[in-house]
Order: sequence, then C-alpha cells, then structure tokens
Amino acid sequence: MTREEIYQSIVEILSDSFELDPDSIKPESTLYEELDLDSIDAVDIFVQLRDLTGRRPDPERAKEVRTVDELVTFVEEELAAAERGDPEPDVQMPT
Amino acid sequence: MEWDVVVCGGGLAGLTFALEVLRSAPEARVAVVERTRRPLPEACHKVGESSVELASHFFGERLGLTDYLSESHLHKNGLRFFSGDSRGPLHERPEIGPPEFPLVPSYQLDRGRLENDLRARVEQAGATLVEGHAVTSIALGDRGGHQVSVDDGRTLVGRWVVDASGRKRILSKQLDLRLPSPARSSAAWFRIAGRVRPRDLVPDDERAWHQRDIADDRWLSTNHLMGRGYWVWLIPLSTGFTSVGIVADQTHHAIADFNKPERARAWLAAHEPELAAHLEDLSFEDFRTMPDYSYLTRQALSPDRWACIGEAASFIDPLYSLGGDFLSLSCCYTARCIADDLRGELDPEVVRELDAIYLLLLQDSSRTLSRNGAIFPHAQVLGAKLWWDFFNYWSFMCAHFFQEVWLQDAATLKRFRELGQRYYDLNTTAQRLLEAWAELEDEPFTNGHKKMVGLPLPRTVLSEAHQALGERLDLDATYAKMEADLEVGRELVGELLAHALRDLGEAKAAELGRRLGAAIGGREPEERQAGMPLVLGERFTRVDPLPRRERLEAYSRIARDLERALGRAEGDRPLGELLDRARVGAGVRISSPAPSESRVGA
Repeated sequence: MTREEIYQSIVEILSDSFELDPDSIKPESTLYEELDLDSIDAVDIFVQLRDLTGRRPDPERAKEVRTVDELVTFVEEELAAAERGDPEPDVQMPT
Repeated sequence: MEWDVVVCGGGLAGLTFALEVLRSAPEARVAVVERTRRPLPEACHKVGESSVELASHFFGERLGLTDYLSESHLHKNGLRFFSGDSRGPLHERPEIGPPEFPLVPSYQLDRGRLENDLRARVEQAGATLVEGHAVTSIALGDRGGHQVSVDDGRTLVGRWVVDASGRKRILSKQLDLRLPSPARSSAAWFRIAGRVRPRDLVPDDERAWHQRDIADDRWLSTNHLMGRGYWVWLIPLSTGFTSVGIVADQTHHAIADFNKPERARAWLAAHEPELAAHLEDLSFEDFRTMPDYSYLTRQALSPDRWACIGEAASFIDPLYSLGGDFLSLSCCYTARCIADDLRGELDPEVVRELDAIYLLLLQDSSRTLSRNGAIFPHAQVLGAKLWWDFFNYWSFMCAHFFQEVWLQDAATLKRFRELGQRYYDLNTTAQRLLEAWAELEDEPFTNGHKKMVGLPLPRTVLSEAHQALGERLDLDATYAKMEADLEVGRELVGELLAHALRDLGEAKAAELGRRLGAAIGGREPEERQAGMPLVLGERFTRVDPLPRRERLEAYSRIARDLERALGRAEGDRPLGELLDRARVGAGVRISSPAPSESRVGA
C-alpha cells in the first residue's frame, strides 16, 4: 500500500465515522484539536485500522499519534511490522 | 425408599443434573435411567452444540468442568451474524460480532464426546447409571414416593422424580403441561467432515475483510447467515466436524422445501448461494429435521417433588443458543430444592418461586425469539436487536444465575422476580419496536451504516455488562446493579426508537407510532398487553440537531455507545418532528407548538 492509498483510506474512515467533510481533512490536521475527536473516537479509529493492517496496534505508540500525517506513518510502520512478522503487543483488549 | 432421586433420561440434562445434585448433596442416592449405551458416536450424536455464558458458567464453574471443556471441546468466539443481502458476497454483508475473543468463556460442544465423558463422571460422583433401559411410565405418588417403571420390569421408587427424557416429555404429556409457543419455526441440520469457515467463502484478495479478523478466529464463533425469515448456523466441533443448520420461520419458509438433503442443498442454493457452492462437493454425514420445534410449559418444578429439566420442560429456539441455559436453570433450581429437602429444609414457597422465575425467563426469552424473521436481513435493526437482547440477557438472566440469587430464600427470590417482571415489560416494548421497525422497511434487506458492528464493542455499556458477569457481588449490590441497569436499558430502548425514527423517516413515523401505542404515550397498540413506556427526553428535540461534538457532550453514555456501534442515519426531518408524528400516530394529541423548523437547533 502506498502512502497516498493509506492517506485516502484514513480520510474515508474519518469522514465516514465522525461526520467530517473529507475536504476539511488535511495531512497536518490535528486529530484532537482541529478535527475535534476524543479518546473514545481514537479507540474506534484504531479498531478500524485493523482492516488495513491486520494487526492489533501498540496502544503506547498509538497514543503518540497527533496528526493525520502521523497516523499515516503509524499505519505504514504497522504494515512493515506485519510484513516482518513482528509479534503483536501483548495487550488484552477489554471485551 | 430406594432412591432419593430417580432421573428419567441420561442425556446432557440428566447427566449435568446428577452432577449438580451430588455437588450440593454428596450423600444423595441418585439413579439415572438411560435408554442408550456407551460409546455414543462422536460428531453426529445430538444437535445443540453451541453454549452461551449461562450454560458455560454452569458446566465450567459450578460443575468444575472448565479444564475438561478447554481440553476436549472448543472455546467459542461468541455469536457472529452476517446480515444484509444473503445472495451477495459474504464479505459485503454487514458483520455483527465480537471484535476480540470474549473474556467470559463459552464453548462449542461435541455432544457425543461430552455425554460419553459425563456418564463416566456421573458414575465417579456416586450415581447409579441404569444404561440400555428406557423408562416406560412414571406413577407420581404422595409421601410413599414416585414409581418409575423401566422396560426390564423393574420399578424404581424415588423420593423425587426428575424427567430428563428430552422431547419425549413423559411427565409433561402425563400432566398436560405443554404451552404452545409463539415461535413457529422448523429446523434441519447436518454435519460436514472438516471445517467450514466463513473465510472459505471469501476470496483471498478481500484483504480488509480477512485482516479485520486479526487472530483468524472468526470460525470459532457460532456463525449465523441471516436472511428474511431464516438463519443458517455454522458451528465447529472439537472432533473436526462442522455442524450446519437451517432454521426457518414457517410463515416465511415451508419445511418441505429443505427437509431432505437434496432439498436442503437446493434451498441453500436459492437463499445462501455462496455457502451452497462451497458445500457442493462435501457430503452430509447425517441429516435430521425438526418441524415446529418450539414449546413452553406451564410448570417445571413442583413442591410435590417432581421436576422436568432440559427439553423435557421446554425448548424455545436455537437462536442465541439458549437451550443449554434453560437446561442449566432447570437443573440447578431442581437440585437446590432436592438438597434443601434432604437436609429437611424444603420450603414449598422456594419451590414455587423458582418455578415462577423459570417460567418468567422462559416467557421473556420466547418473546425475544419469536416473530423476528423480518429483522434478520436488516443489519441496522438486527444490530439494534442484538444490542438490546444481549444487554437484557446479561443484565438480568445471567446476573441472577451468576450471582446465585437462586440460592436465596423465598422472599428474596420474589423480590428479584418482581424486578425481572419489569425487565420483561421493557423487553415487550423493545421487541415490538424492533419488529415494527423491520416490517416497515421498504427494501428486502438493508446494510446499515457499519461494515462491522462490535457485539460487544469495547468500552461500552454492553462490554461492561458482559465483563461484570465475572465479578462477584453481594445480594444488595446485585439488586442495585440490576435496578440501575434496567434504567440504562430503558434509555437504550428509547435510543433505539430514535434510530428507528431517523432510519424510517417522515413517511413511516406515524405508522411506527401506531404500532408502539402506549410505549410512546399513546393508545394501547392493537395487539395485547402494554409493555413499559419509554423515556423520551430532550435528546429527541434539543440534543439531536446539534453538531457532532456538542451532541456527544449532551448524550447519555448509552446514546453515544449505540451511535458508535450502529452508526447514525440522517433523518429526513428533525428527530423532534419525527417523534411528534409517531406520537400522533399513537393517538397522542400534540398541543403545544406545532412541529416547525423554528425549533431546530434551539
């Protein structure tokens, strides 16, 4: 997946899930300030990103993501980790 | 007297019951009369393989079988549903199910293997198994005990007699206990050697669909393919087989269309073509049918020292796998009474209360499981139904069992039963709403707003209700939690009305209101008793039109959870107006200002 494809997928997730106008989403948009998302939205984003990555994200690293662009980088790294077969973080999600 | 308990039938109910009696009264003299002899065939012995939380708690925690079940059967990945277009590709059908393996365990049981192993355990525990002999009749006595005649001419006399004869229903027929069920469905099922996994029906290049299932354990769920008036189950067994079943409401599908292997294949080709194509070259290891399988009972447990357990008492419907739950309830309630009796402490009022709570839960679940065929292909409505049904199930029925309310005295049992009655009233309203919502949809199926509805979605009221089952609470805390959850449930159903109104829009709102009647403040609906009225607060008028962030801040927790799980339909009119239309439809006179644009956003 190219960076551009990842970006487009993320814009789709954000606009579908959070009633955002796709044109209002820019790479430099900050998730929590400019796009006005909160921590529960973040949980839902990272659950949906599994469709792209096929991995459980590391919650510590996920917390550091601030902008759309950083989210793209995060997904790229997850994809690379999946490619290498890195073990998933040992985190039990609450059911 | 020869025996404290004579159990008529040694299937899953009779065997687990014997273990439970001997757990609570180790000195009890227990005889189990069972027609068949070991070894029972694996894989193709009996249907009823999927267990849910309540039965799993009984088998695992109470009977101490957790290690055995983990080693010899499969841990189940919850219930998973595929709704939408049953003739379309599976990966395009909306999926409703657990996004992560549930923490509260449940199991997929190979019934032949399980019953072989349980027979050995029952003997070890000290019961006498009379194998290879059938019960020919039961003569209920008074103080002299009950007489059970066996086909070899013997008569066993027991202080208690427990009918575990399954669908033979010896006592039920003798005492005319059967109550007709509102569910009118039939089933056919068969086993396939090897695995039939949902992923086998989806091309490898549908990466997003495959990757969503991170641990590749969708196949460990009980998978349901849902269509109008029917559903198909796929259940993996530890012996390597897959159980496949067709369950159809008679008002939508005649059993004659799928009651033979070739007909079932043709029926699947018409309704579930992807599954039919996958099964084409696989042979059916067995094939059974059960027409019009559902029945209830007037009574299951008597102070005169008899009881009917498992399917000798009732069988509602296989959806949600509650057969094992009602088996567990009847086993535990009966065993408790027997243990009390053998200690000389039997309180007839406790027996009546336990019978009453069993019948109430039966009535509640049969309301949930009947007349719902129109809902299945509408992902939005099915998702809403599953959220409510699971909340209702975990919050009252499961909590009552897990927190051992049923071991309390008669007054406590009554207090909890009265609370259960309120859950039932709310469920009546909820089911009426869900049925009306689905029936008013124009399209044959709808996909809803989410590719995947988390059931339960993490960090929601629903996931917490599930996790709470693993926490022990004292009696007062249990009651307080159930009461608080009932209020959350009332909000939940009120929110579902908002979802239904926005989804159906202006054209259907009045008719939805007419069908709900008193539940939204109007006249009684045309059919039967009132449910519980819904709380329709200012979220319906003031909050709903706000921009997302402000709306979320004004929302209750459950309102947000439902929007996260189900998504949100944009109504064609503001929600307040849709509600007004619904209330006019229900016969409410709307006095103060007529619905107008000026209210929006105020």
